[in-house]
Amino acid sequence: MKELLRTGDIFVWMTGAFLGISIIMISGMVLLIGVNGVDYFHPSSIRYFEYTGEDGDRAMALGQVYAREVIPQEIMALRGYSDINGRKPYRFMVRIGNRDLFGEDFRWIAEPDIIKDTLLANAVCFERTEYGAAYGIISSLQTNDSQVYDNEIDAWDAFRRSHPIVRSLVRQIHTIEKDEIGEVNYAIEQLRRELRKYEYEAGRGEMDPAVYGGHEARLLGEINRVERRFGEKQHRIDSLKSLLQGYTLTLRAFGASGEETMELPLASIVRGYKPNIMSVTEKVSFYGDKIWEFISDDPREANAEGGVFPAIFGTVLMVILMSLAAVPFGVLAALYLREYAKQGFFVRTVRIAVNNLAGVPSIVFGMFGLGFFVYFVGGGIDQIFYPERLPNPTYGTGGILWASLTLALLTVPVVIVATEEALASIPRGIREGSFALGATRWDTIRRVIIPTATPGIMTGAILAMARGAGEVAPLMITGVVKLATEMPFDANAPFFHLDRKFMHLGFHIYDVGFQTSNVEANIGMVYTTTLLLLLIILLLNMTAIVIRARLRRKYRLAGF
Amino acid sequence: MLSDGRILSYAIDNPHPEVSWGVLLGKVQYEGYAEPTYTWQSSSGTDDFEPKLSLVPLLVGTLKGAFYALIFALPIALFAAIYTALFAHPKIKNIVKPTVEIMAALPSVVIGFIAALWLAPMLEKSIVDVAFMVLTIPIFVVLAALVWQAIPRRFTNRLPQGSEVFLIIPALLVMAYVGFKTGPLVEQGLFAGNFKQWLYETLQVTYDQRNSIVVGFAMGFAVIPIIFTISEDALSSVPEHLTAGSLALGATRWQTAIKVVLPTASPGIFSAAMVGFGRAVGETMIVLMATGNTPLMNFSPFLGMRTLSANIAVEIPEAPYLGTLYRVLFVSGILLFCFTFVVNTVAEIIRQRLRKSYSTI
Repeated sequence: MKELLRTGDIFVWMTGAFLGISIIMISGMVLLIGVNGVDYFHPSSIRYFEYTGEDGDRAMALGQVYAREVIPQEIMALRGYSDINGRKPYRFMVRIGNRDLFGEDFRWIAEPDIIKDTLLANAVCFERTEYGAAYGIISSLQTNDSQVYDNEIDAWDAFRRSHPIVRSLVRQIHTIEKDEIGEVNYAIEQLRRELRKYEYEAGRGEMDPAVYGGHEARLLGEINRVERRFGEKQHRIDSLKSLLQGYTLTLRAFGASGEETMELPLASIVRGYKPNIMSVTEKVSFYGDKIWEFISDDPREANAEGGVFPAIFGTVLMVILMSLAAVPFGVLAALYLREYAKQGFFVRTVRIAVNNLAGVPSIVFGMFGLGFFVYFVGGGIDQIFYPERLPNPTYGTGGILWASLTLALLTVPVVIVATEEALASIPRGIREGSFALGATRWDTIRRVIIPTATPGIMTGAILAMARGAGEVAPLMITGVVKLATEMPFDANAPFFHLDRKFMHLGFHIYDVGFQTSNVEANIGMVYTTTLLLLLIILLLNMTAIVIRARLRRKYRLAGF
Repeated sequence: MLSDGRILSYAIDNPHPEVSWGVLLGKVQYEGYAEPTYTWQSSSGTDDFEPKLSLVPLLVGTLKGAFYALIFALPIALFAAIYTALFAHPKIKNIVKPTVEIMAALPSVVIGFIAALWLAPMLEKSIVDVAFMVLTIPIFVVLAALVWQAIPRRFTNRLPQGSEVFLIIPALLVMAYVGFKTGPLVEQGLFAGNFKQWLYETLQVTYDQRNSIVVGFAMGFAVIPIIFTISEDALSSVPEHLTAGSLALGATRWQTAIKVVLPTASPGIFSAAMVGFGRAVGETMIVLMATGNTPLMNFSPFLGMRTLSANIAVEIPEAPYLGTLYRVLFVSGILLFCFTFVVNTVAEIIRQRLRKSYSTI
């Protein structure tokens, strides 16, 4: 001990402890997100509980255990629980589902109350398009040709056979509704807008009333024709829906007060599975299915279930637009600062200002984006180009274009700093060699400097993308929404709709975790989204780090 | 009316009657209040509502959040930087620096989510355990060092100097486990088994689930990498002949660190702390998620806050364009901007001077 104090080694250990704490913190957090995020797809077994309810009666519950915790002291005292086998008893948070029947998703069940806790082989879980999951035991299935399977085994077999058919019908309906009717709606909207434009111009006396009358008749006729097409589509949907009509599944559900019967239309079931008797291969394929659904599907049930495809799409498109704006600007600025400008007080000030810009709170950028891009520029565009639509804003409201430009302002310093660093690290010999061969300054930059600095510029661009992908605060006020029904890019000309609002992974986390009513049920979804966002950002950052490390090694050799 | 019988009329045009500097920064007597107060309450359900637009609670909240974040982040970042820059084996350094860079890249929405939905409920249940754990860190580190000394040199020499951290991490994990296991006993002994109740009954202090401690942790997490990177740079770029000279004169590595390197690099460390402070002041998502966003006027660690930045995020989508609230929010945004700009500029100038002085030593 004396030795430790005299040399001060003990303090070295102390400082080491703080490094240890930071390493534990970062890896702990990544681990926490990883474990919870991956766990979300796992088909955990359905347990059947019989227990003494709060009123002293025997109650039943069937569901998946979501969490387990030691019963808090207050509740122990209140309910008069005692220790079990010398340890504090647990309580389980059971997802009982069947929200349309029971009104709640979760129930806490305390260990001392439990009378019976088993796994039923035929317990089944259905994921539905609304009201969350349904748990129970199948009692019968009816198909659309009125055939009834009322034996549990037969009904399950019939379900496995008919469900894919039903799903494909549902998908067809969905496609018609979303793509074809969407297209028709878009066409009608365009025609109406055109009509309104003529109306506006005629109203201001800029158009001859006779000409206006001609336009009006033509457009109204067109609208009429398109609306007839709409009717045809609607008719097709109706005929498809009638095919779905007969498929119904009857389920025995277990409520607090006893057994109840539930009828589920097969069309509302996304997937059904019996986790208690799944084999390992079945579990793996289930897992793969869920992951695919997560990244390729639209969200369901107020974002709490389903996939996050629109959010991934929105994030990626926003980051691309942002880079298109930020990278050229940043590179040009850095080239000027490093290659052309006279190094002196002015350039030093600019550099400090650029560095500072990176430290300005992102919400301030967001506020600037709202005031300048959305209200000033966007409002101006509306005044000039879309006066007939006012007071409904077209560009004068948040949208993906304004959000991307705001983030571009935020990330431009990252590009400038990285590019400058890359330019500065090019050995003088290369530059002088080029000059010695008679190249002009512009030739040198174009043929020698930029190609050599490209990996460095790439690093900057990637870092900027990583920063942009994770930023949420400025987006919240410049165009992100919780649910975008129309994507900013679709099959309707002119394909890019930059005035539209969009979804974003980071905002999805905030929205599902903080602005939905049932956070406990959705937390798995939040963890998984977080994991996805984290993976994207870590991947981008690691790429940048690797490129930079290579670059440094290369120039160290080139210096000699 | 003037003495000569003329009547003068003045047209008063004040589009924003609710706001003056006195309102934004001073105490105001509002309708229905017993005494002048600092209050932020921009809107409410009824129409005959008087907006209360004092920035003071928000400023207090901002400073409070940044303060707790720095209390947590500064020691960790600083000591970790000292260890990495001065004592750690180069190989460890090569791992630690990219790790910290990645930590800096974690989106604040992720940190905020973990803080609010994992850390806050966890702390609410076991704040005493955590506090106890933190207090026992030094004891365990000393123990680990003593154990290390007790092991014969033959074995210890195998591990190169500067690898203590490999032993410390398991020691810390053991400590965390022990701390968590013994924490409830401490709570039982000191606070009659329920800290929150004890806090309320003895000190009349209420405990919010999303409080300043949670924010301190989370925002600290966000600023640690910044402080770490800048101070590590300052420490490791201290000219080598200084340290070599000191070591040659027989000083131990700790003595060299504390007497030679630290004083030389102190401006850099100060600048790191400033940049960290600037970042903590402007952080939005973490505060938005991990506090209750109530504009309060106190410094209790067990209560939440509302900061300028979170306030902008919450209110500006609802504020009518060019209305009073919109303008007040812009004022607060400009305040944030100016503050961070000044802090960052000063920090940058300090760093540039330091670089120059390094090259002249």
